[in-house]
Amino acid sequence: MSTTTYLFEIGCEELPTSSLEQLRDALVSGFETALTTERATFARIRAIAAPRRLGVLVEELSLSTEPKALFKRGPAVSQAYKDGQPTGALLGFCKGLGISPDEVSVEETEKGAWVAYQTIQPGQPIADRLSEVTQQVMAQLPLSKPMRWGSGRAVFPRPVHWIVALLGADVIPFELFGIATDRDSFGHRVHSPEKITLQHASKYLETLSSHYVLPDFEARKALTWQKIQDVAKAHHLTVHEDDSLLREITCLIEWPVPLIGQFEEGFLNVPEIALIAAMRGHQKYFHTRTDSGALSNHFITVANIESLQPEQVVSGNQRVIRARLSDARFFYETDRQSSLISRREALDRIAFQPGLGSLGDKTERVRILTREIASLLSLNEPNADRAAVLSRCDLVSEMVLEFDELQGQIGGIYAREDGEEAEVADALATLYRPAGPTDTPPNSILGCVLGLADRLDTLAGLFAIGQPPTGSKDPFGLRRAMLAVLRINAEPGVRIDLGPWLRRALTLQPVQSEPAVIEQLLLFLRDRERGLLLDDGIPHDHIAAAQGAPDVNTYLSRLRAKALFAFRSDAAFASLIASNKRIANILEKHDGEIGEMTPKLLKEPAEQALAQTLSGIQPQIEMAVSRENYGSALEIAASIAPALDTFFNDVLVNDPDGAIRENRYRLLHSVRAALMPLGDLSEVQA
Amino acid sequence: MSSAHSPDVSTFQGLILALQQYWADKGCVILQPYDMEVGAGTFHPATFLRALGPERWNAAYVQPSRRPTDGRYGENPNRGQHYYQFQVVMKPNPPNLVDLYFDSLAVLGIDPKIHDLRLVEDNWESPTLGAWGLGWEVWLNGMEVTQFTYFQQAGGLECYPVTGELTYGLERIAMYLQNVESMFDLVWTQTADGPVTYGDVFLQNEQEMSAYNFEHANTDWLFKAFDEAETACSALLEQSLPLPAYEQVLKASHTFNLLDARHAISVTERQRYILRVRTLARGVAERYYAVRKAKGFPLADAALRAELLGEASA
Repeated sequence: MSTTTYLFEIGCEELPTSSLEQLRDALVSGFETALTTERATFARIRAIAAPRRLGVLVEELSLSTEPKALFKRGPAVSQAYKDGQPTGALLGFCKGLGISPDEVSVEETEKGAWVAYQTIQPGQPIADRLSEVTQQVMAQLPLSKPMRWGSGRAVFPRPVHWIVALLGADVIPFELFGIATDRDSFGHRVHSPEKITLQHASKYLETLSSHYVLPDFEARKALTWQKIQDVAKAHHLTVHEDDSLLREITCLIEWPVPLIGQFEEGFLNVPEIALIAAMRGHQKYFHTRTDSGALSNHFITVANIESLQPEQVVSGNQRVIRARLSDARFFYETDRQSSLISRREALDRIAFQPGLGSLGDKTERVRILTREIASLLSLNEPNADRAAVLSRCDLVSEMVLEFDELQGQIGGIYAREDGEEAEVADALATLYRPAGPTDTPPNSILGCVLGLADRLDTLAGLFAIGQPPTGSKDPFGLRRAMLAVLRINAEPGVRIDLGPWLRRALTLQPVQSEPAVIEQLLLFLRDRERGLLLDDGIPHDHIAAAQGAPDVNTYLSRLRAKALFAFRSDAAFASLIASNKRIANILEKHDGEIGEMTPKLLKEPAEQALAQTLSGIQPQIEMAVSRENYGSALEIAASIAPALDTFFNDVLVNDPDGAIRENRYRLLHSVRAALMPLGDLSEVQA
Repeated sequence: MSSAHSPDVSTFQGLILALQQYWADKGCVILQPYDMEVGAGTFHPATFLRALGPERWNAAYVQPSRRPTDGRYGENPNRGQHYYQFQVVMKPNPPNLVDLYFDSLAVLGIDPKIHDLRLVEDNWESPTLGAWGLGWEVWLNGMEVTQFTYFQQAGGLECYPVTGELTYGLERIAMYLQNVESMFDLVWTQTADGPVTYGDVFLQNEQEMSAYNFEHANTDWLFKAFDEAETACSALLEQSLPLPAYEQVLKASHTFNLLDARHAISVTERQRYILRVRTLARGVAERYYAVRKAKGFPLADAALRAELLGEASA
């Protein structure tokens, strides 16, 4: 079938970086869906996304949509005719389809004969469908920050100036934003301000590139990166790949021209993270390194023009970065006039949260928690205490006030310069890690402990003053904090039971909290944990079971969940689960405390056998659990299943003798208790 | 216009004259600064109030702007508690406003074929004025020189049609053109007796005003002045006098800025003060709109006037 190219381009003023990529993806997937629904075939959809244009190139688009088989079932034959004449039911069916009763056929099924209508809907010229398809895609485009312009009512992220809709050589006529579609586009704002009349959609990319625009986002990005590397190489420098910076730059330019500039070498005395933050964050420059890996005093900026005097662009940028770096150096030198520890006092004057005191108060709480957890884990307690005291001191440094993304790292650097222990400085540097799902937890145990203590305090405090996250609102980032707690607690050397520490963190708060708060906190923890385990493909019921164990050691619950999931196809699994559920049901009927079992009261052989099996496997389960080998523990546990089956066959728990009855409850209770460290198996769905 | 009379853009005053001339040629009313303390050109009634309602409005003016907390006693080369903005407002924004802006830079000697100009997303919001808009900061070889905003709301009211606002940072542009590292070294003008610098004109002002803002402003009196302005504003609104009421908003806003510079307002109180000013600004905006509407929006195009007066449109 013959095909052609469809070009749809929205020409606008410089689009916001924050939404360019999102709109591009929405356009592509919108067209994919809409064209597929139309039964149109195409080879690929290429995204057009540059500061002044958004759109698609649909390549090898079939000129006509595919024919479609149509099948409609009508009334039963017995209902459709009376005395050989069509009934009202049949006439209604035909009317709905716009056909005459002669056109229907009969479909025989096991349940009887039905009137049916079968036909092939012919394909339609794609040219007739594109106007509607395009407008439909546009209507569904998610606009995060739409605006109006001029005297119009139309909205888009920035004002729209032209619309191209070209199928092959023909304009598809319709209107968007009050603008009629045409074949006229525009090139680069500076290099090619005149109107460009496009003859054919397939010539779009090459025509635009001859007018200093590379509309294809990925191609432009790749070329930009290539050119950046070429520039670096020419100066014997290396440049670190930074995808998010490269994307941001690609959103800002239509014609990439990397230029290299430099700043005075003297600035290199300032901590390099601050120099990089100034170059990257403020100016969107790539920093470079020499062969030895040291930060170089050269930066690469990407201009949007082939400047007639590139040296002017370079010197302008050098001027700006000099001012930025002078600021950074000023902040650094001001900061270094006093030690990190001398800033501790200033934290007493900064509010943490109303009701939770100052940042100084928070620091003191974190100190206690850090010391106590460090003691549990046999870490160096003086170092733990020192790290905690210093943990928030960099927040009142000039450097962090200017570059808040450097919090923690600056604390680590200043601590090292102050001659603090390396272990302390390292822990400070990683306080805010993991910053997100792609970031890693602290790489030292003390760093992990400090990070845990800090977040447990924040979580406990905000829950205690009644500020947990609600719905989509999480102004204090508590979900992220809890996820960080879970990830840190999975690190070797940490892996603690978080239950007691959440309680401890609560008791340290300056506010008396309701007893329900600890339950809310645990529930909040369990919810985040469930999310992580679901992401690993573990089903809900296995997670619930793993979380049902008596501890809140999130590292262990993950192992339990994984073991259950792995064990689920084992032959003994179903029987173990079924008898466990039965035990749970029976125990539910028992009121009050259940005491210790008395062996002497075991009368029946089946109950004696069960008790004996239990006493045999219990130490083995405990041993396997203590080695964190939950797979083996489950196998051992499953070996009790036959004894349980026999027990339920032969023994009636509800004996008329109260003492014997109570003892049987006690026996079942000990079985359940012995299995509990594996998780609450009664939660598993058969 | 003969080149003999073209302003000398290598001086600070020449830069202002060139911009005024350029925007006058584009049909803007060239206004003078508002004669009260304001934090930015946006506070001038020619922007904030004129952005409301359907009436056409094109204006350009210099606005001395005061931000007490930015004072550095004249010791920071890039920052002062008093500086200049050159403000252009056009309602409805002409479709080629970006082009007009680029052309204005060319007039200043900033040729877009030589210099890398970039429109970087920057969405503007003024919490005290209840105003926001979408637009860019304009980068000249990596340096922010202008704020470009399409007003969407002012005083809590929808801006329809949209006002396009350009705010040139005059000191920054001049420092670039004159290649000096400190705003106080800028040549204000060349005279027969030699150059007069920005420092000659304003350095002592920076030193003394910084001392006043940070050390000597009488906070008791300022707190009273804020309350007085608030009361007066409400009373004037009841009299349906939005313009004098707006002056009280400006007084309250600057008084708040001074109290802020004196650290007289705690972090939690700060929000409440901002909210109080916003409430006043909103009241003024609503009243101003109502008064213009009662006058029949005389400067509006017929169709828009009809639409917004609620008459049946033709």
